[in-house]
Amino acid sequence: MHPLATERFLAAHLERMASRAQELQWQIDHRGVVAIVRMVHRPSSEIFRLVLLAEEYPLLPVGVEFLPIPDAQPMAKWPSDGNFVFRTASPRPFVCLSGVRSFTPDPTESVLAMGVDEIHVGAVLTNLDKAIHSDRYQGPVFVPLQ
Amino acid sequence: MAEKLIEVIVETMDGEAASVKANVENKVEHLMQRAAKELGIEGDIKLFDLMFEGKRLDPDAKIETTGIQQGSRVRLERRPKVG
Repeated sequence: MHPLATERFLAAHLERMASRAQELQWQIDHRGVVAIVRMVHRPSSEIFRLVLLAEEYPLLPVGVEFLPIPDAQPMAKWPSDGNFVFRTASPRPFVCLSGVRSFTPDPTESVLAMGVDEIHVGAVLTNLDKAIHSDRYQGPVFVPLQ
Repeated sequence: MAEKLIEVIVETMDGEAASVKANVENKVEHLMQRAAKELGIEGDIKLFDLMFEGKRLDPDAKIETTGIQQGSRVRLERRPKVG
């Protein structure tokens, strides 16, 4: 897929999320096939920054990484939900959620594991916001530099 | 007796929206089914949540008890699969 086509799909899909971004206090900075998203855990005002890597989107789901913060180990500050959506106990934390590149589907349902509507970047952001605001949310994981 | 009809804006996860009419005496699940049909969403409606003002609505609740009014915006969300 041509990168310009990917870029336009991503731009159009993010544009469709403008009202939700305002409602849920997301800030989205989109450049090329990359978007930086700032999300807030609204009850605590905790801020998370994500980088979305959208090569080959929407044919392939987006990659999602939480950005590290200064004075912390790379990938150190993550939302924690008991290792449900945010796998923080693995050597390299990752998001395990349908619609995200690092999602590992159940082999028994791999054909149906990721619907087109789940791959949509808006669905991904909505689900991430939902995960941060679920009852499982346990606050940020923070590992300072040694 | 006249139906108490309201029109609600239903958004999908990906930002698509449709206007859906509902009788406030019906259950939330009925509104979810109508919205799914209007938006061309397939699948078991029990796999979806209807969100209003940040809260999940009980599918068995009557619409008139939820605070939804004429012109309200709700969101139909498929419960995500997680790893």
